[in-house]
Amino acid sequence: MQKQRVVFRSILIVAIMLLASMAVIGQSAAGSASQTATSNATTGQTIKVGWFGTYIDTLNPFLSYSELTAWINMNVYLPLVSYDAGNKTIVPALASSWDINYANHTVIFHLNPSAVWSDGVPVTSADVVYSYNTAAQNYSFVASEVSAISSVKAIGTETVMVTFSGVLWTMWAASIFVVPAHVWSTVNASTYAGYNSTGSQYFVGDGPFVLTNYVPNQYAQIEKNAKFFIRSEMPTIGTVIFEEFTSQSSAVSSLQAGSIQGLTGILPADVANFQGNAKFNVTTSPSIEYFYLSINVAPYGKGNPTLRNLSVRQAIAHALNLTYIADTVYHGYATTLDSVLSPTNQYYWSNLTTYAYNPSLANSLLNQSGFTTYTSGGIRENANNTSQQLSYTVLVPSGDSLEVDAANIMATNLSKIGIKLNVQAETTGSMAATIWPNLTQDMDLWDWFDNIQSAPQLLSVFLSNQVVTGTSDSGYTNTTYDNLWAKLLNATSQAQAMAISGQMQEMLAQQLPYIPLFSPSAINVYSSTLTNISSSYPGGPFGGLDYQTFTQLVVKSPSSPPSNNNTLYYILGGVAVVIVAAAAVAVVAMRRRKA
Amino acid sequence: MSEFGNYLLKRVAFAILSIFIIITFDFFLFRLMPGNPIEILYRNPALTSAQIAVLNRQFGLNLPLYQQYYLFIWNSLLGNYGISIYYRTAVSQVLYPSLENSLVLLVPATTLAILLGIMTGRIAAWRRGTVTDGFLTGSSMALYSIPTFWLGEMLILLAIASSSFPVSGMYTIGEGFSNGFVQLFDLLRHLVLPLVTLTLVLYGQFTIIMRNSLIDVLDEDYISFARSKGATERYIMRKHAMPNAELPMISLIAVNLGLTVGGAILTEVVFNWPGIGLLIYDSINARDYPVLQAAFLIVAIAIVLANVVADVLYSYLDPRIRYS
Repeated sequence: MQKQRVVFRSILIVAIMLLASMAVIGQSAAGSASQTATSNATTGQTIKVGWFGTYIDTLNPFLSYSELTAWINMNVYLPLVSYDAGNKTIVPALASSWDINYANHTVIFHLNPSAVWSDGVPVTSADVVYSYNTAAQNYSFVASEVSAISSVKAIGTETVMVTFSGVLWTMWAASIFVVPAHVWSTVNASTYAGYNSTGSQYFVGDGPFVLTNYVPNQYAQIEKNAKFFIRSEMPTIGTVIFEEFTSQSSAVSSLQAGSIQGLTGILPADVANFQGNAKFNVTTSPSIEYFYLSINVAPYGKGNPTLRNLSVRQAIAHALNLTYIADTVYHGYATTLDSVLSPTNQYYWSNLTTYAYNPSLANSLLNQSGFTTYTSGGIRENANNTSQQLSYTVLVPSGDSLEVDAANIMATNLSKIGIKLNVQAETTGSMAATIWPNLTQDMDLWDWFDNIQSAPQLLSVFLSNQVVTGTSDSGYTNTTYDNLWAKLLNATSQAQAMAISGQMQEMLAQQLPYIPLFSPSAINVYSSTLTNISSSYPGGPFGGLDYQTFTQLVVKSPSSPPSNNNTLYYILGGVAVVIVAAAAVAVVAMRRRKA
Repeated sequence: MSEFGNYLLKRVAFAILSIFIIITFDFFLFRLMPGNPIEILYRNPALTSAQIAVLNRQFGLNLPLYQQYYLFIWNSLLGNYGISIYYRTAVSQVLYPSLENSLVLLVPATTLAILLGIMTGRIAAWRRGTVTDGFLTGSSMALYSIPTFWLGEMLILLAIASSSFPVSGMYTIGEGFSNGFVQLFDLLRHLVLPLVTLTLVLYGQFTIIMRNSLIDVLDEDYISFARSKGATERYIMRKHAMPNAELPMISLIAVNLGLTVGGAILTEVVFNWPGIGLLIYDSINARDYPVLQAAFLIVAIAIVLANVVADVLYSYLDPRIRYS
């Protein structure tokens, strides 16, 4: 018996020792993480922004598909040119000027002679050539963006000539980051994580900031680059920390508690928590994200074959009350769409065939198509072939409750015209497995981020070759459409490119492989201590696209932690008082018993 | 070899077999999940079929499944977990810091839950059938059944309303701490809410097991005999009842300490605690096979080892089951 007590007590003692050691380990963990930041600290204020969504995957701009990585890289690397705040006009970045010759399909970029990397090495045309060659490699995620480039040549240390086809030169010039060749040529760019955590030089860039710390799964920290050569755009703040959150509610809580000062992706239902609160500013901006209903129209697809009938698709489009969905699910923070490009895209075509909410018209379209009889469950079926029933399943990402809500309302809309829609919420991984490569789904409700606002890149989703690689979730194939895309890439003027892309958008509007649904507003909330913030850029100031947010913003007063840290002392003091009181009572009780 | 040595050898051999079976199961389980890491990338209109092929080659996903399995086992034996498909860096660089962070939260929480559970379980059994017993058992059941995320969110609301404790993260990111004490204090402040949540959620099971175990013991003949000898209730409880009632607790404690390595997914997600639970959650979403395999390998080893320790301790303490 004594032996058992000894063992049991030993376990408890070991556990308590572990408890103490964990505190020490935690302290050292926190210390090691903060040490790098401290050693690289520059003067200036620090702001922290939260990010809910896809984490940083890698900081290598040629391998990443994370929006957060792109946003960080916008602050540490420069492309040849950039867009202004209105997202319409090209402005200088690394190149201070350029000469375009559409006849010869060339652009000559003149690099800013003051351009210098953060380690003091001048930026030269060799860096540009290296970066564009790397971008074109088959492992590069941005290879398609430079596919229109046939050659990149250095014609001097500060001059580069790029030969290209078509007029969409801004697509690559504004989106490909130029990296330091003298650093990158020493690593394997196909596997490089984009930073060196072991060397003395942590990171080399030429943007207004330089990366000084990155802890995977937690945060990345950038600090003002003292060598940034565009002095007029030198940031006033010293440090920006991007904190990653898995849970949207956790990010919102941190914002409310003051741990972070800016956040995007606020749900419409959460806006009320911030509006009217003097501590916060709420902004809504146009979003680059849009939602669509993809319909499986692939001739070989394994979905319900009735969806290949255009009248059925038109009936579905007329039966959806999108305005109601935008008003209820998104609390009015969404606009309905007509095209498959986001409204902020320069190539968005507004004069398209539209499908107004009209259940009567939807019913008559179905009747004309022969779906005149009903099953016992009220589902329409083909009068000549009762195996053809208008019963479908729509896949929806389970992580987005708003999309699931929208899909459920759509199911109610469609039930009124005799179409049964079964809403199946799944992880995006499961959705991808159902859709590609065999297209076994009926429909999916998903979203696109129209990241390249200066080009109609998302029109490529409907190319026949995309069905093979898997980007296309509708299985749409049309050789006329494919030929138009080829013409678009080789257009000789901006107006011609616009007209072709409009024609392509109209084809999609008429044939309905997608029913464009709505574009939710980008709701950003930030601390009222931050000023000089613009919300005109798509996605808003903290949406991951505005490269000027941190160079322009000003902190009104020094950000300081809440001055109520004494609460902890009060609580600890209270606990101590309780323990002492309990001990006193125990002692008195023992004395009484002895007596 | 002694009887005990034989027993120990058998237990270790069985543990190794268990680990092997578990990691084999995990390997195939992740690949049976719909979707793979490269398929998830398909939603990138910039991605070409050539790039998809390169990625499949880079991560060995183009190899037959049996070859992938063989490489996984061989590399695991060498302690090489491979490169994370998502983070493009060595798995160990992502996994070990997360594991360390989880232990900082889980070990204190589990320890506190055990201590608190034993104490309240003992009181409840001692006061069996009274209001005290009803209150302690009822509250334990209630806490045990409360969803972790709900309790966490409630504490977060309170913390925000009172501006008392940090509601997310493990430490104040970017803070230059002036000394170690300030740093430790910052960690403790961040630890309070997740620690309270986890302790409250875990402690109920220990109370219930302790109470039931103690009540069983209190009905034994030797307890009645002690009473008939005139021993006080306190003495009986301390000298006769508790030591015997603690046996089932040892298994429970061992298993729970093993589970600490697996992190606490819900608590870590709610409080954005950068632990292994959060890493597993994100890796499942990204179908990051190398990270998932390594994480589950470590969790499996920890749990199996904890069970071996519990078995050995149990047989050492209770000769009736020894070496059978």
